[in-house]
Amino acid sequence: MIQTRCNRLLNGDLEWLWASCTKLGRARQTRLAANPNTGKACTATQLDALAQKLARAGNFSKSSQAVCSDSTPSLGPHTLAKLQAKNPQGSVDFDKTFWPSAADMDALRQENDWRRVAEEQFSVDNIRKYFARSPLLSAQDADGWRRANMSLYCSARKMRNFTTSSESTWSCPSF
Amino acid sequence: MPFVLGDFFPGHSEEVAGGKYFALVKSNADGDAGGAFADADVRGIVIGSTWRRCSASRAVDESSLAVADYLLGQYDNFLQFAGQKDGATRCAQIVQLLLANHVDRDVSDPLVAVQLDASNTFCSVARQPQFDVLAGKASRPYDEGRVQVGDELPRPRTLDKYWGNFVSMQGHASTMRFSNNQGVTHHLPCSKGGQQGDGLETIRFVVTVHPSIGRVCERHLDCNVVGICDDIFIIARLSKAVSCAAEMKKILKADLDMDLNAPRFNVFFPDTSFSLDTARSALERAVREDPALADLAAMGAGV
Repeated sequence: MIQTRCNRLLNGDLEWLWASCTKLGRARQTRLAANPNTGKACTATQLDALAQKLARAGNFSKSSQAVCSDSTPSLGPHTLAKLQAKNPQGSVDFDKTFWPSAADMDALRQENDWRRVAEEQFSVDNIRKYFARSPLLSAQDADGWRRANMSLYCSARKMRNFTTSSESTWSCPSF
Repeated sequence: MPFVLGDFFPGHSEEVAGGKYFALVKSNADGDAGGAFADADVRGIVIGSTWRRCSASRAVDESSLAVADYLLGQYDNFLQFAGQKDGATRCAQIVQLLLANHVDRDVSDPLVAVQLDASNTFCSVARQPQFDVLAGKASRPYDEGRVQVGDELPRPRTLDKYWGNFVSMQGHASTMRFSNNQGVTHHLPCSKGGQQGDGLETIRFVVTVHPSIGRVCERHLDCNVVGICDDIFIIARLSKAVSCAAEMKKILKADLDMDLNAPRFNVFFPDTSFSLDTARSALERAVREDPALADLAAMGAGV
């Protein structure tokens, strides 16, 4: 598959590539258009299966939540309008008179406190630990990544400035 | 590090500051799971980038102690527990502790706890006053002119190093992607307030509203005020508590464009000698006696 896509890219067949990458999404959209998601509550059997799946993956927090939580997704026809109403728009034309300048920020980053924070809190080791501790099956972000995906990514690439080797076997996000 | 430094290509900023958006039926609503109840309220949840949550988590880890010192020590009678481990529990315990001191029964002016209710707080707070606090200086008058342009505003200095993050997240409109029940994705702009997408956002919110609430508290030294994020409890004699609540409602609206929802304020009467009726009449009397409390006329549904 990778070879096929690379060949298509080299041949400039971008339309085919785009269609190939969005195939799953379009299929999902077609399915949902015919049968919209109503957010019906799961049956006890479904909840049981979900909770067990999460627990086996080591995500006990979500497993417990699956059993105890009574939150339901809002999937009605008015949800979009309600979300829009929840997000009133404001001006982003700010008065920046007293904002720190770029020079101020540069000076701040020369201070020992910032250097200590950058070296300790944001060290490669700490970032790796953060992802390594991440439970499986956590929420996907907008790009489809879960934190545990990053853990594999970090391990495979050894996290050396995020710029090493081509032999990595990091996993693609599951959409 | 780009999320800490705010170091992004400008064309990507809208996406970087946004995220995946979905909605839950709000627990106090009637239910809208199947779209049957069009008037049910929703709670919007944003899932930010995985890298954003990682850097925010590290930043919170680094700054939480200093921020907690600031939130608990800046004002004598206002404690904010947000951003701390078990903050909600500690907040509840302090409220209980303060309410335990109701032994000297004064039926005309009893000790109460007023729980303020803020509407859609995170998404509706004006950003300019928040940036003013983070920058440490007022760009416009606040607190009915008591704070003038150029005056210093209190803030925890430890957050200065995350200025780049704040500007990259709130310095422009962001885009949130919401997929509806038919799989169609909508792009919702967001140019006011922030989203509870990461821990640093919670800290930014409480730190930036802290001076506005704290200044009101300083004028009401008879009241003890305890907060956990946007849940604020005023513990005091009834007359003092409602007076503080009324001023806070006015100031927060003027300074931060933050709406406090008076009909949904809860008033707790710890003294068990009060029945629902006597508590209601005591509250109505307290509000009626002071013309400055007209804003709170609708208060009391949650006695």
